[in-house]
Amino acid sequence: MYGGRGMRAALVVAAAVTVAGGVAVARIALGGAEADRSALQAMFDACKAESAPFRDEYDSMAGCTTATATFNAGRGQAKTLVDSFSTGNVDVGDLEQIPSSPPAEHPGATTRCQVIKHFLAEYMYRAHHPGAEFEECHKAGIQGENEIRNARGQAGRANGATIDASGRVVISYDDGQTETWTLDATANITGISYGGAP
Amino acid sequence: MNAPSSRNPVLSRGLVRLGTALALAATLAACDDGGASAGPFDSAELNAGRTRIVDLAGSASVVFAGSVRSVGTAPASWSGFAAARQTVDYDVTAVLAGAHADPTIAVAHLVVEDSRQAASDTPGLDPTLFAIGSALIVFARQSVDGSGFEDASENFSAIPDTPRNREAVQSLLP
Repeated sequence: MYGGRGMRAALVVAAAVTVAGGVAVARIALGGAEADRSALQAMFDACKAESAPFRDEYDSMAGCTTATATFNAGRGQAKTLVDSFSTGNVDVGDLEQIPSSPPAEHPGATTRCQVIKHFLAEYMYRAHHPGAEFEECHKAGIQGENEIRNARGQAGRANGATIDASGRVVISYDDGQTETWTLDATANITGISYGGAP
Repeated sequence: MNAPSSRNPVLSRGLVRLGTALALAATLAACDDGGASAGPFDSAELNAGRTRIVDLAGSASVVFAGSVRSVGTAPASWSGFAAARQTVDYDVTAVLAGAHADPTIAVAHLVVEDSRQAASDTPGLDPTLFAIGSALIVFARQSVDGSGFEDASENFSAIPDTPRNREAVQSLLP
């Protein structure tokens, strides 16, 4: 329990009830322009329909009575790659660049539902563990990713994603697969390439 | 940009201050030393994070005092789906725990928005805390891939190397 972590937890709760135009979905609150909120909600709904682990996580969050996770949907958000841990900003433009299903030639590819599950699990973990720092929450996010991959029957467990010195995002899996996302100057995804096996 | 902070900066600042005040009040109330100002470190913020600092002292592979020699390129985004880090090179002035024979060390620090060690407006480390020549006490661990050192906390892996903080840290070390 300390100032930095507690500050963020309090801010999340405050934002949940003060986001202008925010739409609360039970205990998941969405902020941002209507079109972006709708786009993010449509992605949530598609993942719920596709994946039991995703649906379980989402329903658990939506039915939560002790915590609220607030996501501020936007498009082309500068400085935000998919999401920002502390603010709840979510870039639906980035999510649209990630395939909803693995390409046939890359069955182990990172999918959109996997990525969304990461930040849902991460934020829910933080909401339930006030004061938890990034790494602890991030591990919960990676675990959430792997639940989606297991349910889909994808090989390789996610080790996590990092931004390397050149500004690229490198995602690695324990079976040797790697994936590289290239970004533009404002951290929007512009390309995805695959390496390693399978 | 759709965050509430970008819509109404005044409201945002007010919320942050409110959040900070609430969090600090909660932290102080939970503190077993009677208040952050009475703790072993030289700031209420560090005293409020004492439990985490104890964790870091116990898990770090090296704890050192050093001065900032250079700061590497900032990441393009804050940490989120991907962990964002920025490397700082230090001149080591004292190894407080662990073994490190080199006079310099590079540590990849987490870059997390709104954290104590982050810049306020753009992804990167706080330019004041990590100013060239700043004297810091750093808790670092070997990176997972063994390629170097990294931190485990976006808030308390680098603290000012003042006499009071040095004494407090040394009291935590085995």
